[in-house]
Amino acid sequence: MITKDYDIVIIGSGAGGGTAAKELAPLVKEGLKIVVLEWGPQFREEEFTGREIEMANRLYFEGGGFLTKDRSMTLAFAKAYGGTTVVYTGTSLVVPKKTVGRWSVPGISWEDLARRSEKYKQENNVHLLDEPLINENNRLFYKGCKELGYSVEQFPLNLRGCQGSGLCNLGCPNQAKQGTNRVQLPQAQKQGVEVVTRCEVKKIDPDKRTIQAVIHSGNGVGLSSAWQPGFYEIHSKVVVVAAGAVNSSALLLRSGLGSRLPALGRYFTVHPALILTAQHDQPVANYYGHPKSYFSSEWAESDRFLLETCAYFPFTTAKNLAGFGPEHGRFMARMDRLQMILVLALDEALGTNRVTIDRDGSPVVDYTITETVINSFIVAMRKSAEIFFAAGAGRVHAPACKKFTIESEEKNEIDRLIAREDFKLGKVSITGAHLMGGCRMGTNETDSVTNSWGQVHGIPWLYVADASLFPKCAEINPYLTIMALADRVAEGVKNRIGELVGQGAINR
Amino acid sequence: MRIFSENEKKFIELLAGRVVARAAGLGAGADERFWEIIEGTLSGKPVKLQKQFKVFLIVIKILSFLRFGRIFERLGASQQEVILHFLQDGPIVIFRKGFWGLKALIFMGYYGRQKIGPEIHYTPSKRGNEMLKP
Ligand SMILES: Cc1cc2nc3c(=O)[nH]c(=O)nc-3n(C[C@H](O)[C@H](O)[C@H](O)COP(=O)(O)OP(=O)(O)OC[C@H]3O[C@@H](n4cnc5c(N)ncnc54)[C@H](O)[C@@H]3O)c2cc1C
Ligand code: SF4
Repeated sequence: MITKDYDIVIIGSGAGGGTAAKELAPLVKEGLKIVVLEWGPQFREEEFTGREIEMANRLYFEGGGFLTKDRSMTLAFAKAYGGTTVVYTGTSLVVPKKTVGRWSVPGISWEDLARRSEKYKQENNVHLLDEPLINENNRLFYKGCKELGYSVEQFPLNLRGCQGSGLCNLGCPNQAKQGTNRVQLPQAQKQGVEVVTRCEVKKIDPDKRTIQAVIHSGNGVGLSSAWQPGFYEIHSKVVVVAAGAVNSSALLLRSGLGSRLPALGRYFTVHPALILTAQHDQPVANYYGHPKSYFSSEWAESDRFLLETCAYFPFTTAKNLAGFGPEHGRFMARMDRLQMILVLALDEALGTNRVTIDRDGSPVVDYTITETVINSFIVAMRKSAEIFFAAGAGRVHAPACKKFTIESEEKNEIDRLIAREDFKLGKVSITGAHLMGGCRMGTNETDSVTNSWGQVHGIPWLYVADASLFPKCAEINPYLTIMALADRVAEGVKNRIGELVGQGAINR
Repeated sequence: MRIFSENEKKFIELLAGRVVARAAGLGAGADERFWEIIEGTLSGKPVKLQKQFKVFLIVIKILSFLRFGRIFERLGASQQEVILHFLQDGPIVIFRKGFWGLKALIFMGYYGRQKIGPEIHYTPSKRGNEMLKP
């Protein structure tokens, strides 16, 4: 066992960990030693091949198909230098004021999060795509919504030099998305923060303030780790956990904190999602151009869902069509004619939806798709079908429907054809990519894990700085809010740094 | 990385032909990439899941026997479809989930092959913006 000593260890390098690393980096100048421990490797630019299965297996936990305990849903989250920001689409929204009001966490105000989010919008070059770069798939969504009188907004995106390859969720081959792998981690490293990849943190010992970790050897893909493969014990005065919503809870549970913190792992939310597809009689070519330009929050309050544009790759598309055989094949045969809409249900934070661990300490996500979510899905499928037809689609596929496709002549029968009894768990592909909660912020141990600065209740040197802090779901694409929260956590650490590391450690 | 016996492979190829109509032409060993993807993916999954998958294949055979008095391989195309539709749409949730897993694996093997792109009119470009209509 090799031992190491640091003042601050950050576990995970995604939206939360990357932000915390960059914000804490100036402390290196004051004499502190800071390291980021990241399970995944750092990939070389040429290793982003855009090949669906290869990249999914390279970048995601379980190839992007991490199954929940009852196998009703798959979860997507990444393992890489930059975490899930390597595979996100880059839509950059500020959390709505109403949402922060619903969280009702004393100390967390919308004004504070909005101010911090603005900072990262600047840092990540967030802007609206110019009109000529908006592809047909997006234009059709806009057209459909406008025709029906539904609200529709353009997504701000964090791009620099986007070539419109449409491969965002397989890692950008043009390095255009401004994730933490492109912005915050390099900035932190420039200031002296170490980043150690291929480093899986197994446990934190809360009594000894040590971390047990393993450096995995590589398989020829990605850069090698700064440390030799083997077992490590790392002593640290401050630990910031940012391993993502599934793995942060799992790590703290493995570290034996479950009994002290009854809310640990609970109130897990995912924005359960459906991918909806329609076929036009002429090419749409949704794979050219950036995939995501528009969204509608028309039904966010009334029926608790969002609609967004999206475009997916052949296997993902095939898997999300509910059906098989010739009718499925006919849809798949014309990938160039498909229009797609992503539904995100705004799920309630329930204590019963939670991350636990199995006997080996691996995470298990126990999540029940509720009737409320199913009802959101039904309305969302009906509204999306209307939008598809208003945009000129010839036929629409809804995964919960009496038929494989609804033809345009049947558009007046949408409500009859898409009904509650047609929604069958197991048949419908449900995915989650916005994983939140498990270490929610709050005021006490009974229903939360950290205070509003991300400090774990009762453990002054242990912090959480990622999506697991959300007390309830974000109600929008969450990464910018995660960065804002991690920024707060870093500020909280900086404000207490003398007390945490000892005055002697500063400028030693 | 070998997970399936030759018999199991033959059976999955038969199922693949029903799930993806065009995959009927895959034939035994005709497309190595299909098997590389499927076995490569399953080998990364827990052994328990691999076993459950194999058990599900047996369930399909038993169901065929119970419903039509013959094993799946001996059924006509329409009878095979009846069985598969029962798995997908029937009242037993665990069957629906099992069938979803089977379908997902077959789709992965079939649509995950790079060479399928042009055949299904999926031709992305690293410089997709240049292909946008004015
Ligand atoms: C396909 C996809 C598209 C998305 N698109 C958008 C979008 O357009 N806009 C948006 O706002 N959000 C989007 N999201 C969501 C967003 O990317 C995530 O919410 C965000 O990245 C989560 O940040 P995080 O810091 O909590 O975790 P992550 O970014 O997942 O980072 C966690 C890191 O911790 C590492 N780790 C885990 N366990 C350990 C361990 N034991 N030891 C060491 N390291 C560990 C992981 O390898 C990972 O790198 C998308 C997500 C997906 C999957
Ligand atoms: S669309 Fe733009 S951001 Fe997305 S992968 Fe292509 S170049 Fe990168």
